[in-house]
Amino acid sequence: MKICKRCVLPVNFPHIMFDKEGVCSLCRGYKGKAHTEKLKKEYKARFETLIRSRSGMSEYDCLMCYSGGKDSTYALSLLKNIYKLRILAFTFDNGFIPDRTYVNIRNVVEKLGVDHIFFKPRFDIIRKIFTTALKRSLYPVKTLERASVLCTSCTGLVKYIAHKFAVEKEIPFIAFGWSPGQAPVTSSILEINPLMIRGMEGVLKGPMARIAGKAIDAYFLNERHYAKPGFFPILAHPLAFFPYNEKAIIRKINKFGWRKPNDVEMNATNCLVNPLADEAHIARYGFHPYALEIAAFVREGYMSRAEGLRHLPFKKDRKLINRLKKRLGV
Amino acid sequence: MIKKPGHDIKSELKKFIIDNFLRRAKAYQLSDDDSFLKKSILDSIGVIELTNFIQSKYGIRVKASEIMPENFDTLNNLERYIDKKLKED
Repeated sequence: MKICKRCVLPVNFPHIMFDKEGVCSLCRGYKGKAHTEKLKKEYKARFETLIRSRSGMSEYDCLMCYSGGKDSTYALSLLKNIYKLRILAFTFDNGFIPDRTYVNIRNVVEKLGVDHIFFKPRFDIIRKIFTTALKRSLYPVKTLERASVLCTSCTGLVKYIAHKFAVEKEIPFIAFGWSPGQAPVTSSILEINPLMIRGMEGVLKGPMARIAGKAIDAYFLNERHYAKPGFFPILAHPLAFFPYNEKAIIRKINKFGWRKPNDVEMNATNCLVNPLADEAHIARYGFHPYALEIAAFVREGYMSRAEGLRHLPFKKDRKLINRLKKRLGV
Repeated sequence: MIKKPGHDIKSELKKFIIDNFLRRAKAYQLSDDDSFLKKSILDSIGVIELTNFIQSKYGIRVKASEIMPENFDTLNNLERYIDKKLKED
């Protein structure tokens, strides 16, 4: 399989083209580190202006979607220690959180001094959605570039449950711990009209409702929320405009009592079901769901191309895959 | 970049949507009134990418409050919105 000579994207990745030199269209369109740094400064300044204007209006300034992984732990620490925000950290328990991650979450929120809630949806609903996501394409093609169908389902639920909390508690920001490779800096601050959110919510809710029925309504916005358009939060993922160095991040968060779980795969530090989701994605679409993120890291110089290529081959752990399938009843 | 005489906004938008969000095999099915949201063509990052494209291609500034279905959800709506913004600017 042909792979871009500069990054790690394969020729069958959606919407890209390769030129005669074997370089992909995303690399050819990359404007360089200086341009990225300029954008980072702009978005950071914009974030800081928004914080100054919107904080202090309710009992929390920010709802942090906190998976307990290394990136969201680091993002939480930045929001607390640098910006001094009053934070409600929220963890979505999909039933596949590693044991060590529960310990990490407890250690980190206690050390940082933030309020924290777990939300655990009905596992029978998660099981139905996840097992269908392993077999079928449910969402727009664009979503496949960034994550497996299973992960898009899960993060979609996280996003809209977070929206519900934010609107109900009048919290002006929702923050995510997405890495700079997961979403570009130009999407690091999202202010979207609630009318548009309603449409976008439907893109995820529709397929899930067909799988799981009306019970899914509990995880999405309803007319009570849409009746409060002025309380819809701004979404931010601050790691997009901070320096990103994985080793330095892990050193910093070790001080909060965070340790990498030893039963997770290379590309995820917070969820056990990733290998199953990755396997299904690769089998159906022919490329790794982390390819776009790793390619962005390579382009920005956070890792070498050689290191990026080492992250991508899928190492099948048959015993683990079978355990995960058993948990899902597949 | 400012709109030049003869700019066919709708064709340029259609090409951008097809190149970035649609499987090429289904590209021919996109009509000017198709809802991007109802047809599950755009997600939230897609909306941002489209906004960035419009801003840099046509030199207009899109306010967050303007990102709504009435302006963004079909090729026709987008063309109307961009025309209006170009006349304001």
